[in-house]
Amino acid sequence: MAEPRIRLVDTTLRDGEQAVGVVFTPWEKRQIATLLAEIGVPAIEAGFPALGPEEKDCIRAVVEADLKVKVTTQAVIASEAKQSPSRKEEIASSQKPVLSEAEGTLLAMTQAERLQVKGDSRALEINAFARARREDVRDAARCGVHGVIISISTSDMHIERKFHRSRPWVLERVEEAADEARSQGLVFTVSAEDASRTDLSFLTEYYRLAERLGARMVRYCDSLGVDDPFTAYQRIKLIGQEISLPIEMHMHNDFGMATANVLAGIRAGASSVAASIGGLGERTGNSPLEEVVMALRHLYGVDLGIETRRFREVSEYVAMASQRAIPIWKAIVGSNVFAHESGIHTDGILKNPSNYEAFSPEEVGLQRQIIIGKHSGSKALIHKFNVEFGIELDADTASRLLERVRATAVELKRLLFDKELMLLYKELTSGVG
Amino acid sequence: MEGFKPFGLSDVFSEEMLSAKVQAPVYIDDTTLRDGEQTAGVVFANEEKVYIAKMLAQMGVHQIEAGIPAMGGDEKEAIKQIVRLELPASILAWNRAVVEDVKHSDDCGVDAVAISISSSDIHIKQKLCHDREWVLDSIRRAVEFAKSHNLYVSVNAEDASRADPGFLVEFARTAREAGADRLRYCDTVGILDPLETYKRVKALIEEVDIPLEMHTHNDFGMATANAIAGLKAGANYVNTTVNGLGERAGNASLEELVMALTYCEGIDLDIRTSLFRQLSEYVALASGRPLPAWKPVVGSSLFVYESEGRASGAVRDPTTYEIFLPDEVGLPRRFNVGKYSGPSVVHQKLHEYGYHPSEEEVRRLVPILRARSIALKRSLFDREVVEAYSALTERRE
Repeated sequence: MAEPRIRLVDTTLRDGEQAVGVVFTPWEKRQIATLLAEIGVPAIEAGFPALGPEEKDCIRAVVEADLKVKVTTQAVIASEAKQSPSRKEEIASSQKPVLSEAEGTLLAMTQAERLQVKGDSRALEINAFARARREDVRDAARCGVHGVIISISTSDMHIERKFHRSRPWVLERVEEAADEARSQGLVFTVSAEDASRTDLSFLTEYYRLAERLGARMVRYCDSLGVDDPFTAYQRIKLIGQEISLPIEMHMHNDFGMATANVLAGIRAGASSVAASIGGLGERTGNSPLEEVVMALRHLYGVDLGIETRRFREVSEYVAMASQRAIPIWKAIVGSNVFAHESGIHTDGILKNPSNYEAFSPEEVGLQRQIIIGKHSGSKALIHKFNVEFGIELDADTASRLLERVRATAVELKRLLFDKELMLLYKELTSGVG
Repeated sequence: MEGFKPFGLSDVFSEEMLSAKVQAPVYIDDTTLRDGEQTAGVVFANEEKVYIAKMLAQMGVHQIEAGIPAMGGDEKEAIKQIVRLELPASILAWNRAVVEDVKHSDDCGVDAVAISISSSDIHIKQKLCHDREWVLDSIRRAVEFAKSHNLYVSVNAEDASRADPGFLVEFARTAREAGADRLRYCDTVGILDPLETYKRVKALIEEVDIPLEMHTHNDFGMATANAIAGLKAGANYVNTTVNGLGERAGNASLEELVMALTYCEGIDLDIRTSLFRQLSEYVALASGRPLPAWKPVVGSSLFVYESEGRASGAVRDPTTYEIFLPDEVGLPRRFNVGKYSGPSVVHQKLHEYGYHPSEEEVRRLVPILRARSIALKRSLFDREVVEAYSALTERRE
């Protein structure tokens, strides 16, 4: 069986910007789009043109940048080769897809084809978000984007309580918007907002209509993050049996399960993911792009050809532009996820990093740190003094020093800086204190 | 990754598995004070530990993992203080599979111990530098000692997700035969997804008759989902931390797990969730790790309505965008005017300040406020909205 071909569309600039208090300037939007193209993300959602003239300017700024997606398998191979030379050959000889192209014509590339495009590039696909209204689609067309995401709620809850309308009205709206998209020459995805709370038979009716209208893809939105991976899997599987269009997952993180739900959808046959850097998005946000990409690579062996070594850099830029600092424990890119303090873990890491690391920090642009604090053991101390300070600690000194280190860390309620460690060491060895 | 074979993206799963439900009872064993504190750079003062334990017990958490007595120093004192409070929760202490460690725990007066040892060959060979038989012997010795001191015993299978399945069964049987009361399944490196978690936990349960606990890590962002998958497969215990605090990317977070169980799985644990925000803030402060505004369940921005799509539903009926009410987790609901705001939010905001703008006024105000928000690169303060409205109406008069 051929490997599933998975497309990524980044929505940092649209759903991400919809997060409370987040506003990107046109220049920032262009920078973020540039970074995404540079790391190999093939498609983005650039914004919501119907918001007004300022937003249209933002999206045009992105379109006019005329960005090319870099194909970066080289980087991946190089970084993995560092861990194990045999892995390099394994990757080089694999037939996995490294690039997913726009518009559903997703090609799994062979190694030979990949070599041809290496160093080559193709245009970053730019999409705009539109409610299922003719004027929203026209606004999108005016920005010069390639594609449009036509979105409307499909759950009875939303149809009745938000719109005060009926299901047929929803279908009419989509028909009109799709008609407008076709006449504007835009490719379009039809998105079902609140799909996870939508009656499955109506949802498939809606998606079948999208298929007839010429959509290139349908989007399944767990707008409130209420799916669990098992229900997401079941629903996507059933939808996949009813339609032949590619299905895109757009999952929210209200109960902390966005990434798991996206991956469950992919296992059930979905072939596209709408994700954002750091998961930036409404409320608790979306599935973080970096988590999806790394999980696909390491848990399923599917490499999307993204230059993950720049994940930390891209995350930092988005964090600054959105004024939302990256939590130091953020999965994949947090500055602390490769910091080890506890004696047991540090000892394991020093013997072999794979004892406690699923991948090496360099792969996402981070560094491993051995931190000395309350939970440190004597082996970490001996290692640190030897490697970083060039001092050989004997077992007895190490154990006496450890006692002081722990007491000091508890008193200060934090880890210790190198200077403080040296000070404690000097006090101990000179018999002071 | 060593000891790990990638999952097949096109595997097929049985209908029985996909429609499995979490079965009651589910017990929460919170490890904020142990795995949470083990996080690089985090140190709780003893009085903070005591306060966190009190809050957890008050909330209705069933078991509190209070620390590692064998660490020495102040650690034992904190655990003793917690034990002396006689909280309505079991107090568990963490140990390596070493009799000496268990003695320290017994000294503290706890009623339960976790006895932890690695179950994967990677760890056994490269970290412990021993063999499987040595691991099983260590379990027997430590568990038998603990049971002879009338302690409730959880045997923790560290790195179970990378362990050989056959050996894991042997590991679990050994624990059971030595008298352990439950087995903790640890996805130590956070490398499972929910469907795999289910398969593995189910397979283990079918082989060994011992109650199971899930301990999951968030390295790929799936800790909560994996914990729930384990419960679906038949585990009855789950190890959580407040805010997901824990080594590297952290653990399954208490507040996510409880709310997901209630609202995605239909299992109500009778936890006082209205204390969540308060406890999360306390742990954030004590651990020096500020709570992100977007943190699931307890983030300050979760019930702030700014974008028109969501707000237009919420002003009519909050349930259109709220699975649970903000009061349930101790958060406020508010409306905020920003770049993505439209008439619903602006109208609502002015209404809150006692104004009754006409539709026409709101229609004119929206682009003005949007331009301001864009120019200032942030949401607007209420004051700024009210002033813009006054300016608009004055201009007309």
